[in-house]
Order: sequence, then C-alpha cells, then structure tokens
Amino acid sequence: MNMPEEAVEPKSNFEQLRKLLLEDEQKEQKQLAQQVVELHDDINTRQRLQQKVDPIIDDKLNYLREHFPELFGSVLTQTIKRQIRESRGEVIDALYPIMGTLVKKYIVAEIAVMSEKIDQQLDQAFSWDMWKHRFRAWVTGESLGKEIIVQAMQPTIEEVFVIEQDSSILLGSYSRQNILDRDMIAGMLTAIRGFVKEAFAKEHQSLEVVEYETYKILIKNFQTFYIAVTVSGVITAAFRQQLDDKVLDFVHKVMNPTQYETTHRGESDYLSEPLRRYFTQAANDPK
Amino acid sequence: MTLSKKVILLGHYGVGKSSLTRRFVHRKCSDQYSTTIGVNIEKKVVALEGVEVSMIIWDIAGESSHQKVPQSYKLGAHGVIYVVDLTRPATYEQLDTEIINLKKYLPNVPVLVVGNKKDLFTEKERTDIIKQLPLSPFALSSAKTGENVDVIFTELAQRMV
Repeated sequence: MNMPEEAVEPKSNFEQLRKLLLEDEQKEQKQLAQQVVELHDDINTRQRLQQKVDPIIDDKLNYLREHFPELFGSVLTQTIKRQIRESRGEVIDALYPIMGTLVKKYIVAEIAVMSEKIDQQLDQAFSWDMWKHRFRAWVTGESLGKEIIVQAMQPTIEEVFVIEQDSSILLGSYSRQNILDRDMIAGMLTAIRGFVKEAFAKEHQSLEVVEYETYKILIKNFQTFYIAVTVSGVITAAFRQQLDDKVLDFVHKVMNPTQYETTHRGESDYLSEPLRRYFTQAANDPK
Repeated sequence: MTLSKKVILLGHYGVGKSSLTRRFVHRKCSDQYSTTIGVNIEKKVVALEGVEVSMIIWDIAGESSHQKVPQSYKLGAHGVIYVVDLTRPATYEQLDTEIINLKKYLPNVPVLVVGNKKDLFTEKERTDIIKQLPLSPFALSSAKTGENVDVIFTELAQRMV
C-alpha cells in the first residue's frame, strides 16, 4: 500500500527538527560514552591506574610519615604496654641480661670512684704492714685496697646450681668437690626462699644471699629459674662484679629462653658441660 | 632417661606423712613421733618401664587445710599424696572439699588419697571406716609395716610421666 505524499513530508520535517534540537545532546552523549570507555580502561589497566593513583598514595604516605606519632602514637604505646604486660615473663628473660649489664657498668664506675677514695685514705695510714702491702701491690700492679682484701682470703666458686623457680627441679650444676645430693640441695634452697618470701610477706622480693661461716650462697633470680652460686672466702666487689657478668653472660648465651623452651626442655643435665666451662674458668681466674 | 618430679605430701599433722616418706626412702619406721618443721626434702629414684623417675619428695609440715600450707611449697608440684589418719575422723571429715580446692590450685596434677595406719584395724573395721570417708582412697597404707607404701609412690610416679 502506498503512503500519501502529505504523510511522508511531515515525518521528514519532524526528523530534521529532532536532529536540530538534539544535536548538542547527541554530541555530549558520544563524549560521555567515550569517557566511560577511557575510565573503564583506566580502572582495568594496572599501569594506567597506577599512574593516576600513585601520586595520591604517595601524598597520603608522606602525610602519614610526617604525622604518624600524632595519629597512632597513643594507640601504639597502649598496644606495646599491653603486650609487655601480657608477656612479662618473656620480656624480662630477654631484657634482664642486657639491662643487668648496663646497670652494672654504671655501678662499677661508681665503685671505682669509691675504691679510689679508699686508696687515698689508706695512703694516709702509716704502718709497716701497710708498707708491705704497698710493696706487694706495687709488684702485682693491683690497687692497695684490693690487695689487702685479696690477701686476707681469696674467693673461690665452690658450686653452681641452676634451679627451676617453682618446682625446685635442678636443671644443671657444677661443683668442685663431691657434695650431698644436689637435687635435695636444690629443693632445700627453694624451700628456704619460699619460706623467707612467705614469712616476711614480700611477694615481689626474693632472697639474694645465704651466708654461713666463710661460705656465701649468692642467688640470682630470673623469671623461670634461679642460679645459686656457693662461694668460699671473702667476696670482693671486683669478684662479685666478675661473677655477675659471668652469670649474666651464661644466662644470655646458654639459658636463652627460646632455645631452652624449644630445644632443651625436659632434657636432663644439658647444662652441666656449659656450667663447667663457664665457672671452672671463673673459679681459676685470679681476683 | 631420668625425669625429675616434685612430689608433695599433704594432710593434717600426725597422719604419718614423714613416716611414709621415711619408709619409702630409707626403709625405716620409728615409733617415736617427731613434728616436721616447715618442710623436709627427700629423694628417691623409681625405675619404671623405659624411664627412671627421680622423685623429689617434699614432706610438708601438717596443717588442717592445704590452704594453710605456704603456696611456694606447693608451686610446681608434679604429684600429690594426700594422707589421712584412719584413726582420727578429723583428718578426713573435710576430705572432699580439700581435694576439690587442691585440684583447683594444682590442675592436671595427679592426687592420690591415702588412708594411713591401716595396721591398727581389723578387716571389718577398715571396711566400716572406708564407708565413712567422703572420698574413696587410692589405697590404705601402713608406714609401720610398709604395706602399700611402694605401691602408692610407684603409682604416682607412673601418673606423673
């Protein structure tokens, strides 16, 4: 069927009118479609996305770097404090040897000052004995004060015990001579420490020295174990200093908590050889 | 292989803790009673199949409740022998409460309840006494005759390894 001419004419006009009116919108639509395609490419192409995003991330990172303490300082401090509180034992075992050494270095410096003062006072004293000591000190190159004490009675390490804190189980020992059953000594020492702690209600303090006649038992406490060193003779500050260093070094290198827990726990007598190595030498060192 | 284990003996005074220890360690028993002051420590190695257990025995002075015993004496214990005196009901009247509290304090630690001085009773009397006990004991023993003493310590050694 043929359409009448009058009907075709108005439709063509309408199309032209429509084209004229929507021309701008169609251009915009094409541009938008193009932009969407580019944006899609930007997002899905890593390299192009990186180019766009990297500067923003860098800016943010720089900002974080500069303002980190203000933004996260308090949260971090709280977290670290909480972790230290919750893993107190491990932290103490890890830090104790290092802190002990630092503190002792300071104390040694102070003792050296005190020793000099004593020497000055001794210098003022005038007696034949003093001249003899002075002569000997001059020959050996030691200080006079030390010379007098060392001459009186040289200290000697007799025994060393490494004992588990709570159970009193002996982890290892060194002895210069045959002594009574070491397990029982470890038990009794632990019982004495427990008794002193409870009798005087000092929960966070512990026994450090047991003295009998010319013997002294020096006790160094650590988190899961303690070390008791029996010494005969007069203990000089220098000897004690050296012994403390020895004990801390031993703990740091041999009683490493991680090594102990993972490698040696439950292994009997693994400490005897290192103890002998450390403390035989210490016992023979001239003081 | 030798394993060291801490064993504690708990119970009222005079129930025979020291006598049981002495009998087990030294194979001796004395009629004379001597009070333990604080704690006495003994050691004995028990040979089990494939392992030796070095038992460090803490013979602790008697108290009416384990809560009166210094905590440091109980810390780290691997095994407990709780001794009651079959001739004195006061030593076992609170036995159930005592054991419950003790197990709270030392969880996962084997506790053996022992009725001592069994030699002072006839078989019938013993049966009657056992009925009165709030908990059934692991064994009845006599430090005087040595009956069941080794059995108790060996059983504890086995439970500790």
